[in-house]
Amino acid sequence: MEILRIEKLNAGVGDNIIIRDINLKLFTRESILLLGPNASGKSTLLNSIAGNPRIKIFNGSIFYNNEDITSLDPVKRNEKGISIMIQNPPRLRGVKTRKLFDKICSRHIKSIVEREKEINEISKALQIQHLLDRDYGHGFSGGELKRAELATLIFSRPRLALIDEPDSGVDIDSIIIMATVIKDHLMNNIDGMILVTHTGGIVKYIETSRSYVIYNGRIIYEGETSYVLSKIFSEGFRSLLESR
Amino acid sequence: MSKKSVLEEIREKALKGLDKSSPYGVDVDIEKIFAQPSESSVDYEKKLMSLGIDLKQRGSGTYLQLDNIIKQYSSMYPGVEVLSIEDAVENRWDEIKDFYWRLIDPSTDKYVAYTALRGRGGFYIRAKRGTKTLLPVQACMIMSGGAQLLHNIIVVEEDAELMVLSGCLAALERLSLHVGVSEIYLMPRSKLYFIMIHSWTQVNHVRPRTTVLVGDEAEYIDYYINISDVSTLQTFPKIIVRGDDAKVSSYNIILGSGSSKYDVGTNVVLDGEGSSAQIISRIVVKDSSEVINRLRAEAHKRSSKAYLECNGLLLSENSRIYTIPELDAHHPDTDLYHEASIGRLRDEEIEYLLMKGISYRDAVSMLIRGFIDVSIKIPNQKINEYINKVLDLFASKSSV
Ligand SMILES: Nc1ncnc2c1ncn2[C@@H]1O[C@H](COP(=O)(O)OP(=O)(O)OP(=O)(O)O)[C@@H](O)[C@H]1O
Ligand SMILES: [Mg+2]
Repeated sequence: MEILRIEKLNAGVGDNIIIRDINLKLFTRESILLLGPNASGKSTLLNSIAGNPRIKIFNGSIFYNNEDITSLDPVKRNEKGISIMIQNPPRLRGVKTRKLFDKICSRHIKSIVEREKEINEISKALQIQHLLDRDYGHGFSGGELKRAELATLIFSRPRLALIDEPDSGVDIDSIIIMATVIKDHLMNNIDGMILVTHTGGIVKYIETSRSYVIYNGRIIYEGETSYVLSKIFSEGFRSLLESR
Repeated sequence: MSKKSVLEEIREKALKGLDKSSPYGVDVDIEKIFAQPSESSVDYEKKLMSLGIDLKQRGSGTYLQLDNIIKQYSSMYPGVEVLSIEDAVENRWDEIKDFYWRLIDPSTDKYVAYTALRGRGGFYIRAKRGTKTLLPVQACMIMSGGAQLLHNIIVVEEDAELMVLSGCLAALERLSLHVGVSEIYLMPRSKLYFIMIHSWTQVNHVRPRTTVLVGDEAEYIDYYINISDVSTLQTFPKIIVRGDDAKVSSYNIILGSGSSKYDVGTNVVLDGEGSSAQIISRIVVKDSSEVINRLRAEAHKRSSKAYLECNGLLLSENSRIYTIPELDAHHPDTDLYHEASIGRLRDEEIEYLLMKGISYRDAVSMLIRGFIDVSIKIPNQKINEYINKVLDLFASKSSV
């Protein structure tokens, strides 16, 4: 069964098409990697799936559990189980981290006490308890921001998790913390995951079967993760372009 | 001077002010409003509850007035006195005479003059020397129609600490005018928290007239939240810091909705060495409302500090915020500055919250709630919770 199917997707911002003719499939209980150089369109693709209103769909379709969600609003997509960990979340002035977490949790957990328990548990696991009473994103270090953003993903209890560069600019300890939380609190409950990474830092801890490589807005390669990674790390993205 | 001649003098002065318009704000025809009917059987308790004010809750005192009827007043804490202004003038003249019309000239403008001549009610609250309580005096002024012209006096004696929670609201949507002339005195080393929550309707005119005198090492903190439509509201309270090493903090949080016209601000005069003031305002406007915000600091003595901050948020195309910060330094050793910004909610933040599964309305409400959060802590947990609730209400009202 496919959980996600993208057909000939052209999407961008304003009048600019950023990603072109994207075809992608994700099978149930599958985790895949999305790789590509800077500015190749990885975040744009994840945001198109999450329904970011900023992204304009020019052409093509996105099917989630065989339902066409191409023009569904982001809130409904989230309700259906699609959730994204944003690469660069905005800072929210005056919005306490705890309050944001609580609001996200409130969709699944009605009891305040239970929500508090969940927030404390995940925050502890991600070592972000000290951020709970600060404005979300304000003065967070790079690693703290990634861990807090991962928490928002966990709290929304996704079926399809879209994770954008959890390991960029993050030390090895943080990567292990995040990988552990992804394994313990996410993997068992999801139908699928798309993980974007540059460094491959997280790949050591989270298994993915296949990888897609995006280059200049187009998918140039799809293959088994271990092969793709070894090829990229030894010869660079270009090698895949040439080997097509 | 005898009491009689003092009262006569006040009258004489007031007569001179009857035709004086205020330099700011829309001019209101007071006589016309006097002719409006009021409703004495209105259920105000529920309305007060909707503002979170529970009259049954224990405080250090209460004062309750409906239109021109003084419903009740009492003090419930030793050293805190709550009277009506008439009662105080009648029975406590020696105590009140040094504070009665001493900070505000009865001829200031016609609103003040009418209050001096035809006003009814208003409170006299006094905390005796050394009395410290953070249980608030709850003062509630309710209008159902017509003119409600009040004269209030608060005196916080040396080393005393007092909290006044004042809720003013219109119980019915009827043409009315609310004027509160407030003279507030902080003696040396005293502290006053003055929290005002106002809720009007689109046919109310509101003209508070406030002057505060702050003595040596005293601290004045006020917190004003307005969460409703109003026809017009104009106020420019003056805080005179006469003492050395005194502190002023003033927070104003205003929601302009409907076709409300606000002209509000704070004017602080630092006339004591080492005194400081912080004036913070957050203004949210929607529909076709307009808010003018005047922030002014004037410094005369060594080591005075003032910080003015106005942040505005426009939620609609027909609304307007006009902020006028003014700094006036008369001494080289002063440190005055201001910061102002006006804008709208950032799309990126809304989009982010939508992707987190938060509805558009809740997202906007959450961001507005963040915007108006000035994070001041009042050393009374109940009051903090209460203010938080009012601010939540503010945010949900602005996001509709
Ligand atoms: N809001 C936007 N407005 C204009 N251009 C945009 C916008 N968002 C993305 N782009 C452009 O689209 C291209 C792809 O960006 P995207 O963020 O998808 O790349 P990426 O593969 O995620 O890169 P990185 O590895 O650096 O995160 C870039 O050239 C970027 O500048
Ligand atoms: Mg990216």
